[in-house]
Amino acid sequence: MDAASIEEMNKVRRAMGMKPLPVPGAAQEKEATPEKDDSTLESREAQAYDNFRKIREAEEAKKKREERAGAIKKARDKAQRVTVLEGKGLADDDDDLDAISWLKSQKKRQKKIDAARRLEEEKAAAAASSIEHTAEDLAGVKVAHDMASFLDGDEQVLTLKDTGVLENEDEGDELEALGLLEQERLQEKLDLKRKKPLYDPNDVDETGQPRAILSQYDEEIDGKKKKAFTLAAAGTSTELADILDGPVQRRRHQAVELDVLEDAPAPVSDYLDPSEIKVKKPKKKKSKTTRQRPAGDDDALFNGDQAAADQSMDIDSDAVAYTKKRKVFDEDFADDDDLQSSLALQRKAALKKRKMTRPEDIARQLREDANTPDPESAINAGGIVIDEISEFVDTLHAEREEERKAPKPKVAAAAAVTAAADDSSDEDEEMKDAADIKQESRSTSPNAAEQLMPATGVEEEKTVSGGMGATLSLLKERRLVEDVRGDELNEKFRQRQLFLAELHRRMALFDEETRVQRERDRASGRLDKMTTRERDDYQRHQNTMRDQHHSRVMDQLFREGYRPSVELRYTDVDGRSLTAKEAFKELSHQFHGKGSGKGKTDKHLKKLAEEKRRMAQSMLDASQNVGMSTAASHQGKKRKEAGVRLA
Amino acid sequence: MIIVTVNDRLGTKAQIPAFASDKIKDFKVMVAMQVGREPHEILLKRQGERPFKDQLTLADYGVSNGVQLDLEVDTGD
Repeated sequence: MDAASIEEMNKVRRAMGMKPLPVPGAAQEKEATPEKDDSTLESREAQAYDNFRKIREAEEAKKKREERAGAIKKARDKAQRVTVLEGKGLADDDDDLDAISWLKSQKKRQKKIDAARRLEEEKAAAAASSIEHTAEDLAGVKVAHDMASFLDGDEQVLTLKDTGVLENEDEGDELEALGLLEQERLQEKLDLKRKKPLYDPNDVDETGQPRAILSQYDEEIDGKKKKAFTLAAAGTSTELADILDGPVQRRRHQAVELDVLEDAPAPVSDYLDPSEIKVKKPKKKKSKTTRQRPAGDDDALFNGDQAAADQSMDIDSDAVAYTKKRKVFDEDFADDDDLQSSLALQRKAALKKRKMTRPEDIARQLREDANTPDPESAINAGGIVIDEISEFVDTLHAEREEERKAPKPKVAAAAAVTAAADDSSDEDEEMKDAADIKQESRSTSPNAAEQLMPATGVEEEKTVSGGMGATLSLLKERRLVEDVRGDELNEKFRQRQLFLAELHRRMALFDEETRVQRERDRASGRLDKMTTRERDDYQRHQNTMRDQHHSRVMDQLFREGYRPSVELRYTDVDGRSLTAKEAFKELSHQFHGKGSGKGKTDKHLKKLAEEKRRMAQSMLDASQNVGMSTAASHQGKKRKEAGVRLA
Repeated sequence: MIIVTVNDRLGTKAQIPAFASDKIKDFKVMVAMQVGREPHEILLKRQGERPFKDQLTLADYGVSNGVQLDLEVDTGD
């Protein structure tokens, strides 16, 4: 852009009232006066330019500075690389010493180092011995176990309990023995497993006061009571004394429990050791006596009854009754007997052992025994044993009895029904005995009423299996058969039969006459005179005479009033009756030797199929427009009602 | 001051000095002077964008030094 063209532009701009463009030559003076105000866009842009320039300059300065610094560093490095290391090296140390003297000096040095180390160790030992731990150091530290648990005499190693920092602040240090802790946990678990009697008014705790009601929940509400004691420099012994003086029962109880846990090598097995087992031969099972009883015996409903009846005489004589009873009971569970007895023995042995160690448990044992009587003793007590199985069996049996009586009439009814169904499907009813049919109808009559009027209230559609009449009515219902004027047809049929009979009669008369004539001819020997040819002619004449007479008779009968009905009826190959139009088409096709094209044939076939389908449809089918549903839909349309017939 | 190139891709190409703060309407007068068409017949736009409106400035459309604008005939619709 040269100045001239810009000048040119400026003229136009001035004319339009716009700011003139800066001319390159005269630009300097204008730019010399910097515009301080940044109110206009130009001034702001100019400021932006200035800022940009400043930044660029700063960047450049920085770059230069860095370059300079880099150069200085480079120079220094170079100088350092060149400088020689000063001071003595290893080899420079005493260059007058030979190898032997150097070795000696090394030995001396080693000794000096050892001496220094020993001195240090002695110092450390002296310091350690000066702060020896005593019992006073542990004073005030809690131990998280019962003092009694330390009375066994075993040496226990206590460690600081692992707690959070804050808890530690609150409670102070606590000591615990890992082994004891384990034991306590185990004990707790076992206590949980063992079912304690919840409330016992006779129970008295160790201080002699009755326990609080629902004391078993105290632990859950208040949290566990921790048995803990604090070590004191001098006080430990007194506390120990306290414990030793305390309720003996409690202490011993605890000790015993621990004993059980520690001393018992393993829980005593309920089962015998395999080496001790003696196998008894199982008794031969008797056939099930309990099941065998007279079927008609309705009075003895329960199994127990039977047993009671057996035993009723010796209820009072205990011992004998027990044994016998036992036998009756055991016969069913003969294979369990050995096992049960051995188990009982084992348990008894275990119990004995426990009793030796835990005398205070006897009371509890006795109490429990009183509450839950031994199942064996219950069995021995005599009387009826009603358990789930026996009851189940009894109910089963009772029902069977009822059923045996009930179904008989049902079966009879069913038989009647099937018979009725049979004979209705059978078409030649006339072949049966009238009496038979009557009987059957009588037997079906109660059911027939039901069958006639089903729950829907609509009469059932007749089926073809119901016979000719049913079929006809079915077809009529569906309008598949036109209502033919039956009486008219019948009349016509009768007239025709009459006509035929009359014709027959008259012809028979005529035939009789001719026969008599012929006899006469034969007798007169007229035939014999004739030649064969003449005879033939004569016969022919006779025949024509007969024909003439026949037609004459017919004519006479017609004149007397018989009107034959003439009907042209065409059928196609399938036996459908054709209309005149269709018949003409058919004839035409036959005459010309070719049928319709594919399209027309298809249409025709489709029509046929449609007709077939329509005939097969059910009367009451709502989905199609047939029978009843058509009527309903027509009604709806007439009344302009929308709706769908359901089912 | 910026120099804007106006090109109609049919052989007319003109370089026009202006301020970025000039209104499009005024800029069109400058173009008209150079190109020889009435200002109201001139339609300016960046390639492939919508035509510039008269009320706005070149700076509004981000036109800076050396930018080329397309010049078309404004038929008024």
